[in-house]
Amino acid sequence: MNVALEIKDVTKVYDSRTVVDHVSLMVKRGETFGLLGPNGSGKTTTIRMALDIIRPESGSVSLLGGMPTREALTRVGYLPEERGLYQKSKVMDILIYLGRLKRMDAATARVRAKKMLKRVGLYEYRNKKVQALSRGMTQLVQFAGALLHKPDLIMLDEPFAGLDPLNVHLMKEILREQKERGAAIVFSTHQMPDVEELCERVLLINDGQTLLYGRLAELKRARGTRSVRVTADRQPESIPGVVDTKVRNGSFEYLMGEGTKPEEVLRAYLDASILVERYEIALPSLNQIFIEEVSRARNAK
Amino acid sequence: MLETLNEIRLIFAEELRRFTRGKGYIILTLAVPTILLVVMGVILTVRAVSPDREEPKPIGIVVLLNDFTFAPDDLQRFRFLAFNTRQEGIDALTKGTVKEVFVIPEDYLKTGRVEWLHGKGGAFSGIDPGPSDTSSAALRAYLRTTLAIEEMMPELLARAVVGATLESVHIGEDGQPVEEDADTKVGTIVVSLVSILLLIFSIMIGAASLGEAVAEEKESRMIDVLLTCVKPLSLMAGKVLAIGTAQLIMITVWVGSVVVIAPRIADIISSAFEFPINLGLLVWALAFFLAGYFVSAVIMAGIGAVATKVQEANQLAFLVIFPLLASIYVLGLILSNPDGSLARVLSFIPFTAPSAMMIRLAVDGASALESVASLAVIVLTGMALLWVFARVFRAGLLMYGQRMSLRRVIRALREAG
Repeated sequence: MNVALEIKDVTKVYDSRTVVDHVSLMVKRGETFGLLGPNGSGKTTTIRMALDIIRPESGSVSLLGGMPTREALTRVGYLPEERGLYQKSKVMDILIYLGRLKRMDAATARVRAKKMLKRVGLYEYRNKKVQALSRGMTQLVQFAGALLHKPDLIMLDEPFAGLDPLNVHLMKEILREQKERGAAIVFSTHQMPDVEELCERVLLINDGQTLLYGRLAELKRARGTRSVRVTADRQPESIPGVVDTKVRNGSFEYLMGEGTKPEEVLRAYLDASILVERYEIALPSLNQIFIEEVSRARNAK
Repeated sequence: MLETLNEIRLIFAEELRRFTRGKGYIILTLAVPTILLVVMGVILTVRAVSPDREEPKPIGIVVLLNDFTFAPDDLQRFRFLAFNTRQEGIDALTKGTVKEVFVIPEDYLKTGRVEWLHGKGGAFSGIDPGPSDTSSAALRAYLRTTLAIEEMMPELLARAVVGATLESVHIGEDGQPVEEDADTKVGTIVVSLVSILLLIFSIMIGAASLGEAVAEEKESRMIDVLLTCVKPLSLMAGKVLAIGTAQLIMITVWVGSVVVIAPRIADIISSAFEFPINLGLLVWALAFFLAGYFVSAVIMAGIGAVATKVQEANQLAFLVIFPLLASIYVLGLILSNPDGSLARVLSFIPFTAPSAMMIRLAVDGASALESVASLAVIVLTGMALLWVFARVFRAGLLMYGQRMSLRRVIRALREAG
């Protein structure tokens, strides 16, 4: 079976508030999947349902081809949103404990812990207590702990939050290695550039409801034809069909109304005898899509 | 089942390792032996530097057995002061000339019985009093030497090997034998009260630590990682067992140091008192400690799970600590009437039962049947609470920033059931 995680129509209600409302998603092995949404949108609850930490009111979860049993969960690596290892324990002791919890024997856990600590650049801190580490270091130790047992599915809740750019780069590098190994990766984040860099497919939720779901490139393409970027000295006095114009870094960015074709912008420039240095049909950034979709959903309420 | 046991074992080992390596725990565990060693050191130092320190009092000995005689060095070697009759020995004891008197009766060779006459002390801790190690050793050495210099008749040889069975007789200030009970009770009560306070203190520390640990894991969401690896029941059971074991180690160190060091101190200041230990009471105290801890720990683990923050768990700990402390206040009432209805009722309330039963056992106010019944009530209550809290535990652990209302508790129980 090629599916690492499948969530079908899950709903979670706390008191009378529906925090996840009929959400579905599917993640294949060897794929990196982005779970997006504003604060309180239900991302963490969805992850926790996927890991059987909490149970949904309705819907089902399939983990690595079956029920989310304890056995299946030992093949999952999980990094929760809040980072908090045992402050008074030594780094190596905690990693061995995490490995043991994933059914590794102590000797193997020790070997793997050393290897992972070397990989995240914290080997020399192995005998230090967690309280002596910075927040970023603690996060890397916990990240190492989540990958210690070479999981088939890696679930990361806001993995890059609070990390400096170097550590973000390191973490991304390690995630790419894990992906090459064949592991499926699911992570939630607010950082859209990270998603664009790493993910093939995404799910955007707001107030527990699905707003967008699918391949990132397709989602962008579906909206991309509405934007055109032109680099020129000046712009024509008017371009038919354009509803919004922005000037960015010496370029003009046009948002076109429904039914307007991109070449009409180029024609307007040519008609006005303006020399065009560069013309491109711009795909919207994920950030733009995120803001548009969430704003639209909120305005609709 | 095997998987659950493995999970419990894993959690148990890690929690025990982490808890017992804590500075606070190590300091607290070593506090009692350290204090006792310091006390012993101070006494030894004071005695060593004191120029006018008193010579230890001699040991009185009355030999009514014709076959035995004293060689002059026996008296010197063993610090013995010989008397011809039992009454002379009692008179010397009453006047304080001797520390104690051993009476070797005429039928000693047959029975092996030696009477031990003593004044205050001996009964300090109640049951099973005995002379100090020094006195016992002197008597034993004397008997063996004396028996050995006689012709080696088979009965003498047997007696030389076995030595003597001491019969304790407490001589009052009026020179008359007194019942053991009066002194015994006071000593027993003092020791029991101290034991009860230590045990309650230990239960409070253990239970509060457990609640705090669970709340901390919940606050840091480490609990999420743990719950993807083990069942909530395994997590709770492993924690309760680990911290209980840590507390048991602490109690063992405390009791062990008292058993080993206190008699040495008593021996140094031998004129003051003896310090035999009441092992029977210790076993009961341990049983009630474990049962009391079990109930408190289960509740505190539940509290830790429903609390939103560590601070809140500490505040809610009063739910466990208050009844434990309250039980100390009613000890006086139990003491005044250990067979009364209040004492009996408190013996069957899980929170007050450990302390109530310990004090009642100390003054012989409870039968073995009552003790077992009380123990059963505490353990069964603990198991029932474990069943309830294991269900609330899962629901409570997973609620962040929200307090666990009664309605949610009932819902968690219904869903789990």
